[in-house]
Amino acid sequence: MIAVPPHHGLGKINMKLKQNLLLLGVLFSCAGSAVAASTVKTLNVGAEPLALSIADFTPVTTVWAGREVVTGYEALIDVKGAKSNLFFNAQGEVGARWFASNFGLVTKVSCSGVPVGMSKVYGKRVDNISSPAQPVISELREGVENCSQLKVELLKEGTVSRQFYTRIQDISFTVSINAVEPIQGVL
Amino acid sequence: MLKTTMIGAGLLMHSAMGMAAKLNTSFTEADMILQDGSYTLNILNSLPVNAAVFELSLQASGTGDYSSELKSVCTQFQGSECMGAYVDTLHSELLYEVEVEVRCDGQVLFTDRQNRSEFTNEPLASQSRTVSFDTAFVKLQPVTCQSMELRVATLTNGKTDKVQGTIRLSNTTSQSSTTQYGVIK
Repeated sequence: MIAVPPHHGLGKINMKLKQNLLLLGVLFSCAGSAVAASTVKTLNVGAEPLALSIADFTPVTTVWAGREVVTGYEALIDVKGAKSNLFFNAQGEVGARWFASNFGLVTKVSCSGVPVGMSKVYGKRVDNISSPAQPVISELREGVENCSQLKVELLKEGTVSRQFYTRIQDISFTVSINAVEPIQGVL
Repeated sequence: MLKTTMIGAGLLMHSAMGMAAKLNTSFTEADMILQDGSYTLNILNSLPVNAAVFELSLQASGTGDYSSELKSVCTQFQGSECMGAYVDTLHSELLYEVEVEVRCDGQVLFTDRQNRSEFTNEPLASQSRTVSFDTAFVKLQPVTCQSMELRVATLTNGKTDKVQGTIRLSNTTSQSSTTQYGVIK
């Protein structure tokens, strides 16, 4: 291999190329952040339920046998107007491709890191008809006045290979949060 | 070797072919064999049975996977990056899950799973939970069973302490507390 001195013409071209690639990288990364930021939905406490579709969820991946495996999905939702006592309601349907529609799904909801609730449900295929998994979470939580970002996590059950073959094709959720007044006179 | 349990609550009605048309059995965990965390009930009375209507009511109680710890959690994410402060929050998590399987001559007639879960910032006063199975269906092709087995298995690392229930096979939807039946081809 021949070393090219920095002042050589080829060296200058390489430097320029590197600078351009760096600039492109920065531009793409800024564009990605802008897209991600613009897609975050906001849920106001006491407002109508917010609808989420598969487009609102980001795949969570790991690498297995040299392949990228989607082990689950998560959605982040901004929350406005939190109080110390909140009633959370989340329900949805998660469907997989027909050949993988017997599957287990754990749904976890947390708000600004505080655990809210979980649901373990199953999608089924009986008599050639697939039924989606239908998670439901209804929980009253205290001490959540700093709840500013709701996280909905969908975790496929089973081994990584099982997770690999469980191809999720539909996700639909509705989430709502309502403030509950503190109960007076309770010690 | 599995011991077999005779259940005394069954009704016996013989058809012209000598098969019972009705089976009605109540049971508890005391009637069942506990092996490797699973309870098994071998139903002997009223067999063989030929029936189209299947009803199962079963409650199981026990403890499940449980953890409770103070965790340092991120309060605000942007994508997978933590952009907010970290705070210490109590995480209590519990999952108790039971699988029920009814076999007729070794073939699965019915299987289902039920669970109870907790994911909360509160300490849990009790780790014991109860799950209920209430199912009723009509098989469009009635089954004939020479042997029947009911298995109740605790999934994950849980432990079931109590089981009680009733299993009914018949050819009528009358005289039943169930109001809605599923259909199985």
